[in-house]
Amino acid sequence: MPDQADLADAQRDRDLIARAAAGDRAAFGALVARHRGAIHRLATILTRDAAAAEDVLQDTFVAALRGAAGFRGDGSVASWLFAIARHAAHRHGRRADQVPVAPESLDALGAAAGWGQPDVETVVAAAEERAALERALAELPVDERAVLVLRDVEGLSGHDTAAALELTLPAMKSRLHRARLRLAATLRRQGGDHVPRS
Amino acid sequence: MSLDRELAGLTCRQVLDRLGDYLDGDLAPAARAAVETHLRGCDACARLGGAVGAVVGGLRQRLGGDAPADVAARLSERLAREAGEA
Repeated sequence: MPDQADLADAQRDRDLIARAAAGDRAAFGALVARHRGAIHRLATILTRDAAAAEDVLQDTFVAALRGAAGFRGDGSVASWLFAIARHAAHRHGRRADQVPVAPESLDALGAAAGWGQPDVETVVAAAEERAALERALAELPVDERAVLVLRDVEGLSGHDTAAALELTLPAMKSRLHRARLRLAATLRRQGGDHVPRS
Repeated sequence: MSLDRELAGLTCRQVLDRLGDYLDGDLAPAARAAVETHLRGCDACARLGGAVGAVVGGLRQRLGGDAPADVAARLSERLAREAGEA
């Protein structure tokens, strides 16, 4: 359930987009300042390319500026911006990202993440390090990177995450659970790969 | 060790399946209590739950922040051009 601060943030975004749609450039500037970090982060993680990420960031807010009057308000402004950014990133996407990932059982993902293994604590240690998280995220399939960024990094609600990804809530939850397990598995494997040298 | 092991009315496989909803607080009270009872008695599930919880916490705490200043400045310039052309 969203807390009061989340609700106040969402209402402030709605006020800003309404004023921006009426031509208030300062309101649009305030909206940009509130969301540019998150949009840039999503774009960076989805494209894995600094120049492409900057293009996506700019294209997203240009589209938002042009389309402010068309914001329907049936989701949050944040999820609307993320959806625009995701489509922009898709246009910049590499062909390799379009390759579907082979399905993997939850059992196999759980085992890879360290279920019943003595080294599962390496995941806990790696999750404390920004560089390790970024390295592991970059290895995940693009759809799993997106759901992790929206739900876990940016803290969107389940409904807003599903809306931004154009998924049903159960489908989003399933993807999120698998993505978390795959990220844990990647951190565990990379922990083994990065044994400190003396 | 097998995911078929049952404790508190749940197998380890069922706990693994519900771990995401458990971490997000999306389970009904009775289902949550069952998972917690299982976790108290099952080291493998508890440690995996701790690891996945640490991943979620790490993502929330370590990857935030604003866009770099030069990126933000170029974005402002582009938007000023767009607004001027509108």
